Amino acid sequence: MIADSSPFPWFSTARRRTRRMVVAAYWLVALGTFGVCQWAEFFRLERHSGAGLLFPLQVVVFLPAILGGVRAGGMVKPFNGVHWVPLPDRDYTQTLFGPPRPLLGSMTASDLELDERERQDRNRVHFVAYTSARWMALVLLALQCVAGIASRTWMINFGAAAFFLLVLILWSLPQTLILWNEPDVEQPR
Amino acid sequence: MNAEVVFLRRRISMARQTRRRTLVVAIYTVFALIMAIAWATTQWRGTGAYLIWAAIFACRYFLGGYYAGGLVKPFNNKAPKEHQMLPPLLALKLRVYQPVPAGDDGTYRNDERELHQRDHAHYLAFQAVGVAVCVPMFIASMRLIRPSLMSWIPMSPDAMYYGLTLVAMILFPTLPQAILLWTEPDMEEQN
Repeated sequence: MIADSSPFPWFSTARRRTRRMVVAAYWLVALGTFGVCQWAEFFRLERHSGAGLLFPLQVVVFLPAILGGVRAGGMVKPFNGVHWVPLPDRDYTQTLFGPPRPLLGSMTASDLELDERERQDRNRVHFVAYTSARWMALVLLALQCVAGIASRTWMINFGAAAFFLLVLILWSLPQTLILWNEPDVEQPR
Repeated sequence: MNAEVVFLRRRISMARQTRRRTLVVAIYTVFALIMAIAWATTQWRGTGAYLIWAAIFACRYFLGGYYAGGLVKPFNNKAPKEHQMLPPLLALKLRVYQPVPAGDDGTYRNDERELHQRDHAHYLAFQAVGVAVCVPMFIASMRLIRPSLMSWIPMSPDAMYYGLTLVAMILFPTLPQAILLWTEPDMEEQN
């Protein structure tokens, strides 16, 4: 499930310890960003023009790409494979001496499709992630209800943040579980 | 997967795929109706919880999966707990019952093929929910950023976010079972 080519050109993600550190940093950045947006009241239209909402929206759309899964080029292979590559970032040009060299951080052929074992792992991880996300969504709804009981302003402020957080969980949780649990990848000799 | 449900004193065979699909459509139609009525009467203020209870009821007596009872075997592979208490009044009135677990494990334990089906259904459900939240999120965001573009929606942004969370809360406990019921072929043909 771990892609052969790391999205980070300056270190390898083959070791589980490295991946766990990246995952921890990812969630710290994600939750920190939401905390800052909540503190700056980006989710409240009456305080800003609404353009502040673009910032958490960009975070939700682009941050999960680091982990992969939902799209190619991340640490996890794309869950659904890659069936159409309009602009491949591999160097297909035949060099004069030796085989064509892949570009730094480019995808290899094994990164584009999952084999049978990897598909089963993907499905099993999604079962665990779905069950966990179900409870997380319930907690978010309960918090939203509590905020609504306490103050309508809190509910307006927290409602959008809770929904954005739910989207981020949905797009990141299976990849997080894979990166956290997958053992060290053996390097080719 | 169980082959029948009992509702209003009638044993309804669910061996045919078309019947199971009809049941899935009926359940989600009821959810949509409850949601529309709750919006029309109270704008979901204080009535949103009824949707959660409706989803739990549908799972316990029709869909199964996350709860013992219903068509789909329990996802957690555990035997249902034996309650000494009487069944609730609503279940008695509607003449629904939960099947008594037999001595063998086949009534609740999933075999290897069913585990693979369960995991694949959860993968599909996860993808569906993940994609489904994109469109409303975009609409709700545009509503906040450019209110004039979305002025045709008769709903405030905070109500929309609350409604989207409610929809997610309905889909979460029901969608994997719905996918399984929808895709499983006719049981007679399989045998």
